[in-house]
Amino acid sequence: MARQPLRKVGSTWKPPGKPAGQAQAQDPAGSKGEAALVAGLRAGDAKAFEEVVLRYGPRLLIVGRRILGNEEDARDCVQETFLATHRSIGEFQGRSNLGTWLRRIVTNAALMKLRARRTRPEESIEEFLPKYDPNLFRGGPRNANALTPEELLQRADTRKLVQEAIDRIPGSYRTVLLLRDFEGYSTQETAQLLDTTDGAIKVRLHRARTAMKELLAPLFDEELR
Amino acid sequence: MREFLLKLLLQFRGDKDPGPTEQRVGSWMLRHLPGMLTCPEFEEFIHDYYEGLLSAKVRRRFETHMQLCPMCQVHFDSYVRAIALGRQVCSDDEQLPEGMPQELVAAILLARNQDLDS
Ligand SMILES: [Zn+2]
Repeated sequence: MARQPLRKVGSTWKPPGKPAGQAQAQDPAGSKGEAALVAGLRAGDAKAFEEVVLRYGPRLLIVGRRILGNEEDARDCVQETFLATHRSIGEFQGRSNLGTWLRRIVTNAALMKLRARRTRPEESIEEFLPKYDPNLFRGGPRNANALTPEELLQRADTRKLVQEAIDRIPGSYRTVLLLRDFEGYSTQETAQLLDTTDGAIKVRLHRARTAMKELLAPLFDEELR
Repeated sequence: MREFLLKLLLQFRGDKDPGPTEQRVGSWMLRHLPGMLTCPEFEEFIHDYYEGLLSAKVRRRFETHMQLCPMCQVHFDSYVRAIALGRQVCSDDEQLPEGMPQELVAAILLARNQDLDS
């Protein structure tokens, strides 16, 4: 009989499929309603505009809050986004759906605000990175619990812990994690949005994920059941 | 030789977590057999392994290290779970968005009307 590796991850692990964020970017009401809304926007119809604000606004607000971490700035961003939509609906090609297009505009607006705001030096990510002993062996626990993410999410405090962990990741690393892993942009798209290289995105993404893993260490402790 | 020793070690260990002897053998193998990754080298490959970007050869070296090094195995397992948790929490937020704040809707509609007038 074939022997198993000691835990279920190991060599049986396969890369995940599309991140959840991408599925969320689809139009919730289906593309038929969307075509009518786009036509309304193009015709300058006030009712269609209001409908678009009510339908897509809540999700855009979530994106703005995530990137900016601040309600007031997030609302400003959403307002700018809809104003930009109203002015430039002519540029909407219909290649992506309206929700995805709006999401990209709000993401760009939020990133612009973030750049303007970032004046103080960023917190260091060093404390979250792996440590090694003189023989180059990794420090840290040899054991962990085997609870799945779904099982961990059954626990009352998990969501709060995850949210706090994301908030504590130093800013420029957190932004990459949000865009790439949670919003579902590809590495190339994230690099374009942040005006940097794919290589820089990979390094930042890996460090951000590592920091999140460190911050969530209590959830993986073998004592936790 | 490497494959043979690895197989022997895993056979011997079975489904159990490695005891002190197996851990010593594992860490001896990591330090002395040719072609083994160190923990910092393993770290360098995590991103590409997770994304499925490694060549078959490097992937095998990566997985061998993981089988022999409990710290890296725990680290990678937690890394994978941390990403899944983040994704899940963020996408759940979106499943149940609160509505738009009324004053924000009003401000947006007003801004549009002013834009039309100007
Ligand atoms: Zn290792």
